[in-house]
Amino acid sequence: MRHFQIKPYFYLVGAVLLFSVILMSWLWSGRFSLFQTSSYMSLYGLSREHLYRGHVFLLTPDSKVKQSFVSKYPGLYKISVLLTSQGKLNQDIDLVFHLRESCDTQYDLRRVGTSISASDFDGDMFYAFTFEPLDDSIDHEFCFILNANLEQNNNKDTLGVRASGVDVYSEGKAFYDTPPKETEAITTVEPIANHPEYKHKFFLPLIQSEPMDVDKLDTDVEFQLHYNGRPLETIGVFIRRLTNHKPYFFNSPEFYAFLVVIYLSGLFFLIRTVLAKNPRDN
Amino acid sequence: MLFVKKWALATRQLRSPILESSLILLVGLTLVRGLIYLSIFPPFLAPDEPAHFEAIRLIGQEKKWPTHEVYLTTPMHPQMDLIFRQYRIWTLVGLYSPRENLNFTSNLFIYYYPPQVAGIAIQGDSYLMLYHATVAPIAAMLASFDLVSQIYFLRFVSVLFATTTVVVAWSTIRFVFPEQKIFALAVTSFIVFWPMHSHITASINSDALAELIASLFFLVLVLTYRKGITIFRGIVLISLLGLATFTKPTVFFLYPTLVAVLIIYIGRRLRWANIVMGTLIAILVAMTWIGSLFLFENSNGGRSLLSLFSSPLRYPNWSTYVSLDALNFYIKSLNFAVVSFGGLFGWSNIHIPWMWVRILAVVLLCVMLGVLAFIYQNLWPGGTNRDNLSRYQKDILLIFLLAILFSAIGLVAPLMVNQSPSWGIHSRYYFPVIIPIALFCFLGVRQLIPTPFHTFLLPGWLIGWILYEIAIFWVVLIPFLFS
Repeated sequence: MRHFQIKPYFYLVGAVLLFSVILMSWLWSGRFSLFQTSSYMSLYGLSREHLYRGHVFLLTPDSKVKQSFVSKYPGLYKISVLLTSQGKLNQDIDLVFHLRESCDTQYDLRRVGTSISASDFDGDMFYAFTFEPLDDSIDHEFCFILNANLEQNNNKDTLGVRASGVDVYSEGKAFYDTPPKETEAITTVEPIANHPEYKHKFFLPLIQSEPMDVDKLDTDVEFQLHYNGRPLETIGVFIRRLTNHKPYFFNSPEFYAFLVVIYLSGLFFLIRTVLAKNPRDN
Repeated sequence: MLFVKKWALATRQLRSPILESSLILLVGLTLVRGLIYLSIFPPFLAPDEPAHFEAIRLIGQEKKWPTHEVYLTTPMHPQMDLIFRQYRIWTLVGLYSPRENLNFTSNLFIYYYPPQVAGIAIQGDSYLMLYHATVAPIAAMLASFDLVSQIYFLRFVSVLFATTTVVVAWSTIRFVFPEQKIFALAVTSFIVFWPMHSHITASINSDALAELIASLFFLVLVLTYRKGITIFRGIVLISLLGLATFTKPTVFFLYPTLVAVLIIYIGRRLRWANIVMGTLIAILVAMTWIGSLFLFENSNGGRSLLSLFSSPLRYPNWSTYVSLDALNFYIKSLNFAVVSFGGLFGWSNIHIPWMWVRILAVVLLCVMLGVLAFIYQNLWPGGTNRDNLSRYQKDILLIFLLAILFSAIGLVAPLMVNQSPSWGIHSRYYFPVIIPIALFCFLGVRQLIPTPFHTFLLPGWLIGWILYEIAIFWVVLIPFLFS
């Protein structure tokens, strides 16, 4: 009796089909959390060189730190904010995070209350506020607002948000809402501009000591946006950003698809060649 | 042309269908990878790329030699700031934009870029300019194109240099190990799939040319050592040395390497005892070390060679090289070297996660131990496996090893002299010894794998590099560049 044999390419076709089904189901209903905005800590007075002047917006019972921003990808679900304390905290501090359509509205799209543990916090630290993903966050303007409940806190504890000396984020702006009497709550981190070029060319006007005018402050706090959106939409935004401003065929998604297909084919044939006819190691 | 013909004749006897098909695939992959890397990295987001581009543009399009005076009087490319803004370059590198943040309005490159990066413009009177002069005619032809297109074209020239290096590396290793086909594939796949190599060789930078010149030197050297010296080969070697002198200080190691070759070659001919040859090589290494310290002390890291003759000689300050502070600095530099090998992209500001760095350091340490074991067993007098290699192969491996050592001296000497992180050991600085490094890395890994598993070595090596690259792309590059 002749044995039934499955031909090798059936395995290949089966594997391709299985992979396609998994891929399609993931594209259709999965989540994609690859993208997040990068951190530019050096712009906030935290680089090794400390070339730039930064500010610290202190979180007091009456103050609010606001930052408007534009979300780029779908599925915005987490925002990390660079907090700073002057030394170790003495006790836990409650923070309230609001996400709104704009800094002027009162309606919270998302609200997160959290408590910062005194034992975990010292110096500078990104603190993440996680919430239910916003699926329609592509190119959408938002504002997050941060305030701290420090009523139970003694005066020794200071918790603040790192902010830049000048406008470094072109798609949004930070605001520090505080009663007029408390404008001194802003502290300034002075740069150490030790390079002669910096002293004389760029930084001299910046490091001049002037009274801080809160209304004219053009600044941004250091934050990161994290996305966990649907794969198809996320890939669409990625391709748009990849091709933006590029000349000739470099602005065509098909060109990149072509490159990827050629590259993967090359890899496949290379591995196949090596596996099938592994040269003898004499 | 004569050299190419002779080379083609020599390689004919080394042909192997599997290797040739693999080489064609590797060459194709190098080109495709080059296109991917040059297009995903925003214009100017590569090490010193704005400075190299501006120097090339001044020579090619403005017909001016890029001296300090020329930078002070010639406006930079009118689209440069626009491109920096469109691609968020200043933000991506974590620096203030001179125009947007600092209200700086000058259109002079020397005030736009160098002060922000605490660096210098590339000036023809204090910098080795062979690369810039070589590609300047291409820049001249591209003058009517928009700036981004010009950058992509010039980046592609570097990709072509790298592709040629792949072919040269393949040929070199085939000459050394004609029977052991695995080595040629392993070395070329190292060169093709090393992410940092792909990034730098898809940017406007003199490193791709420096690497090509050094690789050609190794090829001709191997050929000469195997077939004997001729006037033609001698001229080619000397010419390559001359080109190296005007390309980059990272290629200066070829000089002591050539002296080492002569010592080994003459020593074999005259049947010198190992102790005599070893002593001569040790003296050469010591002289190279001391000479490098003098060179870097007096010539701004080897870039301002002319200043050697115009200013009084400064002596190395030996006591500062061995202090506790210096030791601490060297350890930090070693850490930087591991990061730079694993992945330090852009303006050295896009790096692999720190956990990877620790794992990579352990892996590299293991590979280094494997290399030491290989050297002890195969090259050291009295080694247990000395009969596995021919005299020719052992000599070439010894020369490669010395080349790596001389290159390392050239990288460490400026660190010792300056004690400054700005002279960190960037991986691109040892691209010129990429063939010997790739070969010894593979030999080190092979040494660690038990012989029965050697069948899986090449597939594992290849798949390992591919997986590493996938991780680099999806964890490091894409999230940073497109978020």
